[in-house]
Amino acid sequence: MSISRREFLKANAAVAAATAVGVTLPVRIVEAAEQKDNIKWDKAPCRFCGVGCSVLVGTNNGKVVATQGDPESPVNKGLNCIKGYFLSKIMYGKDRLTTPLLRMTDGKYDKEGEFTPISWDSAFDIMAEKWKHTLNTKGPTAVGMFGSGQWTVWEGYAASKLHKAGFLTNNLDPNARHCMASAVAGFMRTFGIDEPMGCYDDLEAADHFVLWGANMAEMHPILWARLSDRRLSSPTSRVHVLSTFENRSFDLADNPMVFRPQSDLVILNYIANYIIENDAVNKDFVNKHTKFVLGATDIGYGLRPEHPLEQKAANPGSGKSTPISFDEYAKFVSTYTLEYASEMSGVEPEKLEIMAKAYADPSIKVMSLWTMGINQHTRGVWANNMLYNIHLLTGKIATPGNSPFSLTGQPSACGTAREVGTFSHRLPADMVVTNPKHRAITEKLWQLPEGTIPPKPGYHAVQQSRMLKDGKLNCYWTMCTNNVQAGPNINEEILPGFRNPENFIVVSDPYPTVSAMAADLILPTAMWVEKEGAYGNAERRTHMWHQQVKAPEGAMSDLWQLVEFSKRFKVSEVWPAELIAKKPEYADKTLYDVLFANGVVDKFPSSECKAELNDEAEAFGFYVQKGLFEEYAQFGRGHAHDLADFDTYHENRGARWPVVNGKETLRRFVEGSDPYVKAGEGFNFYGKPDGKAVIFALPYEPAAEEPNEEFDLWLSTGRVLEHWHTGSMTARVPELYRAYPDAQIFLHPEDAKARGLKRGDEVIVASPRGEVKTRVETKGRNKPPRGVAFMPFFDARQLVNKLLLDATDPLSKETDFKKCPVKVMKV
Amino acid sequence: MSQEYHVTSLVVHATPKAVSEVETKIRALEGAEIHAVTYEGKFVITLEGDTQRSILDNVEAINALEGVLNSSLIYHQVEPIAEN
Repeated sequence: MSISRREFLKANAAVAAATAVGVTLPVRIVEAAEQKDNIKWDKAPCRFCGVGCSVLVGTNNGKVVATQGDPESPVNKGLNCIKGYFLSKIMYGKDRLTTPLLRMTDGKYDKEGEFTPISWDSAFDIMAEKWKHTLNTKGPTAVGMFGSGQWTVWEGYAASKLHKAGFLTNNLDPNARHCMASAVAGFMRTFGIDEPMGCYDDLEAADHFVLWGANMAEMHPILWARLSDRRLSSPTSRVHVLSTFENRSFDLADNPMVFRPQSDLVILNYIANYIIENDAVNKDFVNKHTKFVLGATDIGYGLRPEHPLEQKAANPGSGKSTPISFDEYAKFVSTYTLEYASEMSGVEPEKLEIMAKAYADPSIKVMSLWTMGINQHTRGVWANNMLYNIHLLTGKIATPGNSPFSLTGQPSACGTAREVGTFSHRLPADMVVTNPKHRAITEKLWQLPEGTIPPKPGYHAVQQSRMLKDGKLNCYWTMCTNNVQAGPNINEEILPGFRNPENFIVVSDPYPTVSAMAADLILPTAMWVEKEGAYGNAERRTHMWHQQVKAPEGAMSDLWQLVEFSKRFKVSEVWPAELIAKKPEYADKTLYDVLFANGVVDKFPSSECKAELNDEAEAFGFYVQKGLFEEYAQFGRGHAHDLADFDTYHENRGARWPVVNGKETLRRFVEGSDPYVKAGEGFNFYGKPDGKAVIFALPYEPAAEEPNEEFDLWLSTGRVLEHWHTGSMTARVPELYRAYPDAQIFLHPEDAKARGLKRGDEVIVASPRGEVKTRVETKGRNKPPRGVAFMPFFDARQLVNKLLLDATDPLSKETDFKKCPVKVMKV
Repeated sequence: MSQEYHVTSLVVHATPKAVSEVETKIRALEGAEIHAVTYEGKFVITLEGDTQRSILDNVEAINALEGVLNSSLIYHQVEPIAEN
């Protein structure tokens, strides 16, 4: 390799980095970088988290040879985190699956048999046989699917149609149930419409930042880079960091606060009380744009109904509320004094007061940021509501820098799981299956007879596991997710359902995950830039990518799998006679004809696709991604969820909905920014019929379980910077694997000492539900206080989530992964 | 095993107080080159090496420096070193 070639490559790299920070490099370097090369560059959103960075992918001869943070992306402005940097390698793990594998003995399906390669045709044969048998003998509630916030928009949409309109079941739920369900329910209760009103631009406009449990330095590193910039470039900017243990985000904290698990509810009400007592309520805003209600209490823990905690609860699962006055609300929070908040949380009163003052001071713009600490919480919906309370009382909302911002975990939890409505109770554009009008709108757009969509919500994620175990859900397909590693209470509630002899379990994945190995049939899947896709990130940004490389021979995308499988069913085989009678011309058609070749989805010819590759368009003979997107977009256009034309998204770096007259919306509910707010209104929370956001009076209630004499530590599980969720992709990138190979339990040095342990010792971590073997870390990046432990869940050899109780928020059905009493013992 | 040339660029953000010390320590790393330092304490750095591992060791060393708040990897390219 010549010196000039090296100089050229180095100059390319340097110019990319300089562009990201806006500095100009000497002319000789820029000139060196301007030589021609044979790499073809195309954009794609990152495959990992909900930030939604854009990456430039460089391909040459069908192989990815370079990656680069996309300098044109308004999200990451050329930056990458370490996971984004290694994106090009996630597709090339040595154990990539390339053929369907069925458990067989002597050439026949056998649940106790060995995985044996079979053709796609045979795989769909056995699946169709199992599905038809179950539908005929037990009905639509016995089939279901577990999907993903990592599905592309059209994959989620196709799955929703196949289940809600094809199989007539609402048993479709995404893994986003485990991560964003409390945020969704919080939005729906307070605002009547899902997703943040603000956007990432608030990071540059806010004065103070408050992290409610979120460890952005590791989990949302690119937003953290933007926040760090703001903090360091503005002399008045301050960062308040709340967490149950010290983490990397504390490095930038001006006001670091470690609080006792569950006491966030007390701190939130204390801040509301402080605002009221110090006369900092924005009365004009509150009177015009909000109303107050008292929420039902003692609502249980979303466990099985026979569980003693459910038996004990006065109002299990109740989301009811009754109107109250401002004075009644003020009285309700008045007991949440500084002393009480400090006593309950263990945080020094001065620190709590500094934070409360920042919220109360009308001259300080505050951005609150939260993710799993608030959402994965048995009172997660309440906590979301209580965060909005603070911003609503002060009117600090929907304006630049005043921003309660619900961060998102997965790349399309918003775009797919939430907006498309792949939850067991939802339909597109925030509609729900329980509302007859919503079902009617959907049935009309889908050209289905009235009464097609079942009115009863299906099984949510945790309920799916329970029903599989109980033998009530018998045909189960999971895609783009790994619940046997990620879900709670694995040994008692998840695995028994996978291995229940009454059940047939299908797992689609690019790799042999823990879930795949527990299944009966594994389907090999094409991933990321091996297919065309669209994601929607946390700031309502919809963005797209083209297929850029071929998948390994034999691996097929989730979209192809869903649509192709629908060809196996005649309407007359799966619909009841009285439904077919309303549309007799459908009887002999297949679900594929009715759902996908319906004159709308198959409207656009493959030739409209501007990419060189589109395997799905080639397979079905029309531009299936565009057709699905355009059919789906009809739900939101004109209803405050407007998406732009399909083709636009292939040209731009995404746009934030509602996109009206070609213009994206930075901040919703506020005049001048949101096209749905009329002149003179100022603000309009139009998700509610009266245009008023709801302030909820809600109390502190304890966690489902607390440490006791035997299980004497709180365990929280979560992620680390280097790995994405269960590591099914990142653990196959050698560099990321080596950077963080094994999970560890983070302990306070004194807690370790008290158990006769030192750093690096092998230990058993146990709860009443199981145990895992791991090693002790006392000096790492996470520094828990005494009585608290943290352990990441990416490591497939240490299935830590089996220790957790499947207690959920009773309203959102999202599991609490952060508060499990455990004991730690030397091996 | 065929020989490879790896180059990576990254932006490192240091607290203003620590800029000069961080600069000295980065310059001491083999294969590291600083192309620019901004007034707010951001470094434009390239790292060259024979393996991805050597580059990542340097990334880790930089992350561990006192005063480094954040590092973002920007660009990566690898080419075989073919002498002809």
